[in-house]
Amino acid sequence: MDPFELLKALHALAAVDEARAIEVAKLCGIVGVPPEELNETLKSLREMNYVVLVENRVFLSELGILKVSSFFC
Amino acid sequence: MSILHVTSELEPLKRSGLLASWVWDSVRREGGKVLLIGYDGRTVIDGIEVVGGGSAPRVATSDTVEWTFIELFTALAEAPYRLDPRGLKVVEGHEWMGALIAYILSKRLNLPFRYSVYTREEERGGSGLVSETVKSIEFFLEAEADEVVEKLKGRVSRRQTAGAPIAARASGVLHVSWEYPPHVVGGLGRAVTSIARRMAAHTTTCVLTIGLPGRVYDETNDNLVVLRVDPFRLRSTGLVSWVYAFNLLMIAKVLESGFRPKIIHAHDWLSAPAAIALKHLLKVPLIATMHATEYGRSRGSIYTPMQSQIHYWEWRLTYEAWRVFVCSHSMKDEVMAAFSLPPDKLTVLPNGIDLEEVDAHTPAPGERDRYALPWERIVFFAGRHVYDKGVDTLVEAARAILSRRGDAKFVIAGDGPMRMHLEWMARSYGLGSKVLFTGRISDSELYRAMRLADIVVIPSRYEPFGIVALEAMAAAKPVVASRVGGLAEIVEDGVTGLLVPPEDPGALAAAIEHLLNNPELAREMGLRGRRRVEELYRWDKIVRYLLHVYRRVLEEYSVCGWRALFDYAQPA
Repeated sequence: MDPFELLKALHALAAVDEARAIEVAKLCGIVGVPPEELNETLKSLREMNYVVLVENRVFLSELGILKVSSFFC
Repeated sequence: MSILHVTSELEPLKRSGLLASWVWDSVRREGGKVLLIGYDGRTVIDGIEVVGGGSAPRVATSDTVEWTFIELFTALAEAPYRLDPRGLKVVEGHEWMGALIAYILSKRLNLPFRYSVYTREEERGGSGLVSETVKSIEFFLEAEADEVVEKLKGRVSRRQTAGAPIAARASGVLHVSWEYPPHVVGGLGRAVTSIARRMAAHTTTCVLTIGLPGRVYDETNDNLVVLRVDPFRLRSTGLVSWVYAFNLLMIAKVLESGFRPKIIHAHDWLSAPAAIALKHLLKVPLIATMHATEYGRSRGSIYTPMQSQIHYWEWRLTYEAWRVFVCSHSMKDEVMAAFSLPPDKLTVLPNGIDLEEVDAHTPAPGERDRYALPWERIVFFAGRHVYDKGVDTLVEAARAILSRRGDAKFVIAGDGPMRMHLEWMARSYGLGSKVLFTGRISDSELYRAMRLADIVVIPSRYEPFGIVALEAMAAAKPVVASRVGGLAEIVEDGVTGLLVPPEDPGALAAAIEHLLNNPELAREMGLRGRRRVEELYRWDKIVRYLLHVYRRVLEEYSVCGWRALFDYAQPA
C-alpha cells in the first residue's frame, strides 16, 4: 500500500505515542490491507523513522507527524 | 433555570432520527431556549424560542464529520448575532454535535456546560474512522463537561472542568497559526515565529497554535504568550476533519485562557475556522495573511472535496478579514483572481529574514565532509518534498549535469510525501552517492549547510514567496530559481542569481553549470544577495509596518458601529 496513506491513517487514529499506539491487526482492518502487505509497509516506514513499533502495536513518530503535516503546506 | 439547549435536531423543525423527539421532550420538560444548528429560521413553539444557527455553505465534503464541523463553525460565527444571551444560566449540548457548540458558548458566556447523552457511539456499534472520531469527541466532551446527563437512563454525573487559565487577563495581538515551534513544517511557521517574537517587543502578543505529542504546553515569556492545543485529543476521519477538530479546540483555548485579543491575525486556511469564529464571538477585527492558496497550488483546478473545503475557507478568510496581507505581487494577483478581492483590501508585505539568527550558525570544522568530498561543489536544495517544489526537476537536472562532470554534489534537504519517489528516481538514474537526501534538518543545520553550499537551487513550480531564497541570500550564496511567484521578485536575474523557466531540467542544469563554471561570478552574486536582504528584508521593518496597519484598523474599528447580541453577555 502507499506508505503515505498508512501514515495518514495513523494520524487520523491519533496513534502518536505509546499510550495511543494501535494494534497492527486492528490497523489491517481499518486500512483494508492484508497483514503481510501492511507489515512490509510498516517495516519501510520504521526504517525511515516515521513510525515506532512496540511489540504488536504501532504509532507515528514526531518525524512521521511532521511528514503528514507537510502535505498541507 | 433558564437553559440554552444546543442541538442539531429538534422535533418538528429538523430531524433525521429519534434524537429530534428526545431533544424536544427534554426541552419541553426543562424549558429555556434552543439554538438549532443547521437551521436558518427563528420561531416559537409551545412558548419555546428556537433560534437557528444558520445553514452551512454548500461545500463538497468527503464525509458526514467534515460536513458537521462546517455546520458547527457556521453556528459559532452566527450565534453572536442571533442569540440573546440575557437571562441564560446554563448551556446544555445535546449529543456530540450540539455539545461541541455548547461547550464553546459556555466558555464565551461564562456559564456552566452540561452535556446530554442519549446514545453513545459505542452502543450504536459503528466502525471505521467516522465512528472512531465520534467516540473520541464523546470522550472529550465527557471529560470537559461540568455535568454529564445520560438522558435515557436519567443518570447525572458531575465532573471537573478544565484547568485554570494560564495567562493573565492580558490583551493584545492574537496570531492564529497551525505552525509554531515545535510544530514547524514550512515557511509559514518560520514567518509567524519571527513576527511574533519581534512584535512582542512592541505589544503583548499571543500565538494560538498546536503542539506535538508530549509537547503541548503554554508559555508566557515577557510580552509573548503561546497557547497550544493538543490536536490529538480527537481522532479524525482525515486531514481536513483533523484541522476542523483542532480549530474547535483553539477557540475554546482562547476563551478559557484569559487572553483577550484586540486584533486577530490569522495565517492561512488551516486556522481560519477558529479565527473567524473568534472574530465574531469576541467582536474584534480580523487580519489575514495568505501565505499560499489552493487555487494557486492546483493552477486554478478545484475538483476534490478537500480542495473545495480549503478553497472555501481561504475565500471566507479573505472575505471576513479587515485587511489581507500577501507576501508578493504575484500572490496579490493570485488572491484577487481566486477570491474576487478588491485590490485596496490587499497589502503586499514580504517575508523577512533574521540575519542575526542566520549569522549565529557557523559550520564546525570538518562539517562539510558530512555532505561532500573536498573536491566536490555542493548544489543545495532545502524544502518540502512535494510536487510544487519541483525537486523532481532538480533530480533530472542533476542527472544531466552528472553525465557531463563529476565535481558536483547535490544535497537535498527536507522531507515530504514525494521523498521515496525522489530517492527512487535518483537510484534508478544511477546517481548513487552524488545525490544526498538528508531528510528533515533543523534550522541550525539548514543555516550551516547553506554556508557550506556553492549554489542554492529552488526549482519550484509554485512558490508564493520562497523564504529559502532569502536564507540563501543571507548566507551570501547565489540562487538558481524558477521564474515563478515570489521567486521572480526576490531573485534579480543575473544580479543575485539566475532565473529559469519552471519544469525545465535542461535550463536548470545549464544555469547551475554556468555558476559552477564561473565561481567568481557566483561569489559576487552571493554578496549582492546578502546586501539586498540587508536592505529590504529585515523582520524589524516588516513588523513595524504590520503594527502601523493594526493601528489603522483599530481606529476604523472604533468608529464602525459593529453590533452583536453578545454585547449583552458578560465580558468573556
